[in-house]
Amino acid sequence: MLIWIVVILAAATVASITLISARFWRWSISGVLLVALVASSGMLIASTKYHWGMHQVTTVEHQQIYSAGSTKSPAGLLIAKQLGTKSGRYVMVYKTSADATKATPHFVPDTSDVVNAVKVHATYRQADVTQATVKITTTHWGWRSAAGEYWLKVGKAQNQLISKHVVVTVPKKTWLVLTAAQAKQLSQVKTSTAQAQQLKTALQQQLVAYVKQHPQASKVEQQRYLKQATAELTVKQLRAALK
Amino acid sequence: MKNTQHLDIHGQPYHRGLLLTLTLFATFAAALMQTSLGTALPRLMTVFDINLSTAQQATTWFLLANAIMVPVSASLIKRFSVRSLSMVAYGCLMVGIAISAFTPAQNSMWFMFVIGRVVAALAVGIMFPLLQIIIINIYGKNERSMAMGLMGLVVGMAPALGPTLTGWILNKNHVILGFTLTNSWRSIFYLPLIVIAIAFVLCPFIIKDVVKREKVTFDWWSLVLSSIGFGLFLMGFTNVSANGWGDLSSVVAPIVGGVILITILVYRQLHLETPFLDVRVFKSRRFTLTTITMVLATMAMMGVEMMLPTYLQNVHRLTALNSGLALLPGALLMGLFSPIAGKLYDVAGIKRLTIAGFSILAVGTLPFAYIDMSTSTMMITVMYAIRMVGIALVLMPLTTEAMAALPLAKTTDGTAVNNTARQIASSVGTAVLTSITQNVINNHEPSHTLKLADPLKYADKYLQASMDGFQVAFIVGLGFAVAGIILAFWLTKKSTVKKGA
Repeated sequence: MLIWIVVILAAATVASITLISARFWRWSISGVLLVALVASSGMLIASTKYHWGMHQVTTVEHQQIYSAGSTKSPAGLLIAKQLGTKSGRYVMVYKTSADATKATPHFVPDTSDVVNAVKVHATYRQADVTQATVKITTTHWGWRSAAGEYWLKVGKAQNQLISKHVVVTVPKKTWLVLTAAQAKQLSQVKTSTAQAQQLKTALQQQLVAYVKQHPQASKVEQQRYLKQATAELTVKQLRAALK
Repeated sequence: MKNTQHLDIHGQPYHRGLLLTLTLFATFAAALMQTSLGTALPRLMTVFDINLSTAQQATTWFLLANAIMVPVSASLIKRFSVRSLSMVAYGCLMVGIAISAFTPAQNSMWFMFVIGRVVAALAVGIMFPLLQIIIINIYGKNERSMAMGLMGLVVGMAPALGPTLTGWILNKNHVILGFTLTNSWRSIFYLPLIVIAIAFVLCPFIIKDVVKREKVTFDWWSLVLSSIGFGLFLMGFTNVSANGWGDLSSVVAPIVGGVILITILVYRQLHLETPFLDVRVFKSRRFTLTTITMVLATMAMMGVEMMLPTYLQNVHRLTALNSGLALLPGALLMGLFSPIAGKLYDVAGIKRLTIAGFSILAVGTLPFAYIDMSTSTMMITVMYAIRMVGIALVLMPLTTEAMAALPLAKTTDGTAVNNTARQIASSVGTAVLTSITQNVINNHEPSHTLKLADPLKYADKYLQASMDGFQVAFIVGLGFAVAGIILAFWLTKKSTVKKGA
């Protein structure tokens, strides 16, 4: 709205300077109009440039993510590629639902919109957790009040994003974070029958040890333990294969 | 009236309507060439791998060549027959457009593109005054207004539409009458090229010698001095972007050399019996003051107008078409307000009108001085329109006022000086502003190590550097507007407009 007031004031200023013939009235009315014009332009600049009438709104979003690798593999896979050598920004490949057939790359920067792309920081960490998750913290400019929006908004609000921080957290022991090259390398590694046998024996031994320690463990608990151990061992084996 | 036969100076009959249509048609092609590159600059920068400042040379050299033609064209029209002059001008425009259109797309060939622009500009410099003189000669006083109106429409509207038309061409491939017009930058030149080629072919049949020839003396030395003098001057300012202000051989020397030649040119004019450009009109304080104010308005207009399409495309990621459309309302309003400005000038006089015009020009420029990456396109469109109205309010009235300041006998010389001043101001003003912008961009450019470490941040910093550059240009534009307001207070209160002239 304010921008249209600026337009009207500009027209009124021109009209008053050129059309009012009485000297006193001309300069006093024009003076008032000019001050109002400059003031409203100032308010417009204050709003568009310095976000007058706005405040920062932060939203946090949590989501579980799923392995980029085969659903059959006990180990989770996250493929991550850093943009540049030291940016700390990653493009990551994972699935957003358990039944998704294909993993998709996330946080690929929109190079046609650098202004907003640069505000996105996506990274990952490996932690002592059981589930892989993504946490997206978005901060953008929002209007303090509806009245503020009505008066100060100019066209479509542009680039209102302030920052978007993405942290993908994957379980340290059961997930592997790979580069694209490593993922390719892994897909070509064939597990020999000897290795598979080795894994099986090791798992058997661990389960026996677990049952000894927790004699009251139910079948379900035992199963859960076995799954975890399988994942951990697979990760270890894969790590070894990559070396 | 209907059956009146129109005879040319040799007593041969000719068709008046056809003659006017053809000349208007050809001049339209010429007028399009003036501004059509505005929205194409980002594309040209990519295709030729050049920076903003180098790309702007397509405009600055065009304007300069145009400026130099202003004083020349008057005597050319007097000396040569209208038909042969039209043929030469159309041919020259055709060659110029073709040179630019077929320049190989590589960095080392950019000079050829600019040469094409200069050749085209020479033709444009003849065609505008030629059209005006033809109209005055083939229509009587009472019939002229309609023809002049048409001319105003062509000369005024084509530059306004140019950037949007270019944007439309660059947007996607268009199929017109079964022909495909590709979205290549070359296509920008095809439409005017076809128009002018048709005009060139028809010219010998339709255009007749309708203007009486006079024997005039023409001072070649002045032409050489002005071409080389202003050329060196512009070259010096253009080189600032690459080499900085202190560079002796490419910046200081050409500017100083240019100034010396221009000084000699002025000295020569004062001592010639029939000067090439009668600078004595500057002895009138009122003429000088109004001309300076008009120059300020011109530079304020060009400085922002030339930067905005590039800003909109590179920062807001608008397409060439949308960047053209964003500026179209301003361009159209400028056309709409020109006649209104004339009325207001009669009512209020130049002083009040200039104060009003420059005031809203300044207010409209204010947001540009605070521009950043998130400034909304809507804001730019509206503020640009306000600026253009401000400029429209002062530009033509200041020219009228400058003429009113001179005795009637001096009006022709005054017009030439005034037009030359305006064109040179556009050219040098654009060059200086672009140089400043490019210089700031170069100095703020991020290091190349960042490009490897964090390409996104590098791209962002790079954009920020151009933002800083644009902002400086806009602040200078604001300075022009404020200077204009201050100068306006010394203008005459209510001019004595010569009635019935």
